[in-house]
Amino acid sequence: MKNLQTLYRFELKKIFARKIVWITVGIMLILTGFTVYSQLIGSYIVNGTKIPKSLAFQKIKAQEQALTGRSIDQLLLEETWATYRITSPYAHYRGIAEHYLDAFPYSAIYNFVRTAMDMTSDAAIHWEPDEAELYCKRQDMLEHHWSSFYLYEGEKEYWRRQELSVEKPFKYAYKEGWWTLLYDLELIGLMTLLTITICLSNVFTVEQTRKTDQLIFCSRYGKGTLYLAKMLVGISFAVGISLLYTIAAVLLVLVVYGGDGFFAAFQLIDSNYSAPISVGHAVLIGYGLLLVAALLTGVFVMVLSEILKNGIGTLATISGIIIWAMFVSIPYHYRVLSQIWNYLPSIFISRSGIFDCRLIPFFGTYLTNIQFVPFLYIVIAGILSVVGYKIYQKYQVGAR
Amino acid sequence: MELVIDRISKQYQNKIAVDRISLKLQKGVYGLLGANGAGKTTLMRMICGVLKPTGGTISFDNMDVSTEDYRAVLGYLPQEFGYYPEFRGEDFLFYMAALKGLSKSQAKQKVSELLKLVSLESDGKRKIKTYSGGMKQRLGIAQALLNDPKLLVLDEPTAGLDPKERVKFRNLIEELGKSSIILLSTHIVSDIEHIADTVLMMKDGQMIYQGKWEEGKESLEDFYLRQFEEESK
Repeated sequence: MKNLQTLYRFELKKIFARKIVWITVGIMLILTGFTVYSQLIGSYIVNGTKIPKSLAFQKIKAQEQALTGRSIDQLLLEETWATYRITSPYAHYRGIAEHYLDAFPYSAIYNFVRTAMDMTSDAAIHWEPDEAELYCKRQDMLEHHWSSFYLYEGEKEYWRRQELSVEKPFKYAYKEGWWTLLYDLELIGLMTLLTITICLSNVFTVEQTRKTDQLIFCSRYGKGTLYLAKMLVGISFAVGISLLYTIAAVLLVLVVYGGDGFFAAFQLIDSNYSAPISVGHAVLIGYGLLLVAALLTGVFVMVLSEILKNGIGTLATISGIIIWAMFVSIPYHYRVLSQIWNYLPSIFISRSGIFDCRLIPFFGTYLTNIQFVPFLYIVIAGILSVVGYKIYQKYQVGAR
Repeated sequence: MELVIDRISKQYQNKIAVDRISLKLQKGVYGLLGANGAGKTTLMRMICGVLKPTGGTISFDNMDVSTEDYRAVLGYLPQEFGYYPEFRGEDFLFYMAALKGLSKSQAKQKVSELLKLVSLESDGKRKIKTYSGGMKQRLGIAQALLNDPKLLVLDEPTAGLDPKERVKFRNLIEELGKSSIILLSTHIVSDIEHIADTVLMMKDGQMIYQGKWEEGKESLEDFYLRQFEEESK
């Protein structure tokens, strides 16, 4: 179609001809590796002896794997609290042999209970294990959580129905790899968005800086097909980068932590969530949404650069927005505003952003973020592409 | 084959760059002369559709300047020829060929033909950033000819060419002028004298002379310089 394939190939070549692209992607890949492995950097002090975390991890992993499949019931709760109480009287209990040897493997269960019941550390250690109380208090905590997000009654009812289909008691599982991927989603997402911004901000402006715009705009396909080729190249680069970082992170996680626990309940990581999904599914959802967010960011960067006619200006504007958004939060009582703010890709691509409990009313029912946001991002990307095309068509070569 | 320029104007905030110029160009070579700032480049950009006129129309055989069909018959070498330094010479031509709508096989044949024509056949695989100024200019001429244009607009095409290449280029233009409309601007009056069938002269956005320059008349260079003298008085 109108040499689209050939133009696509050359536009891709233009992107990869820039050193900054290779440098950025290289640095981000190293950072991705570091992010995934960072938990195992450092050491524990056990009875005054340094034990590298990477070495300790193998021992803890084996112990956690031994607990996998057990229900978080009265028996397991008592077992967990028994090991924790041995060490709790010590001020620096994490540094003594008993904790390292006995309590550490139970820490995931201990922390799950603590967050599910919304207890302080002090209250938790003095708690008398009681399975019924755990699940009852978790329900109270959920109600409190929904209220804190200013959910409407219909939304609360939706989540109550979802909660009924969540299997309880939860079954404990070793899931370190998938947990790491979810935990690192925010950072990997941020690196993806920054890479896209750096690498795509000159897809259109390069023609002005290189003064090739005059040649392009007087050529047969320069005003139509070339726009499509540039957009397709930008979109595939954006999606490709998010896939590259995702694959790099997943491979490293599988090698370092293993792939156990894919089907473990997501509530073991986020006890506030009330849908029957597994940790592995949550990872697939999270990184799937990163692909869509990358697509939108790619389109946004290219269209903004076409509006500003300035690659550096585009880079500065979008980086500014990303950094600014990290420090700004809108209080939940501004319900609509704070919900819209959460859809900003740099905020949304995180465990808390994606699995936010606020819903979208949709013809008498509700859509979750997972159902709504991909649609929203694709529609915005489509609108932006059309706006960009109109601006591109009006382009004129100015005085040099 | 006719290029019709009808009362074309371009006005910037406080300046009229091109002032109601009307022309009808048929097959042949047209040499456009004018001092810096006379409006030559603005006029050429409007003819190539990369700059929108404030008023007036431009059409080639009834095809409006804004259409794809018009651009399909157009070849343009801008004054400042832009390129991608990391591209090899032949890659640049293949890219431009794709933009101009040539199929892969047509492009392959045409690129090889043009590289030979502009004496770059042994340098086609080198990156453009390693080319000299003259080589870049020749590459620019080659890209303008890729689609066998019926309307060829050349803004300062001989800049940077050595004398031998300039003679070769003159002959090429003379040949192309038999089947196309060629509009070229230059400061080198002798180039116009040698190549152009018709001389166009611009001053302050207006066309002050349009017609054949007959031998035996006052030299074109003297006439051209006289316009400057009048301007400086």
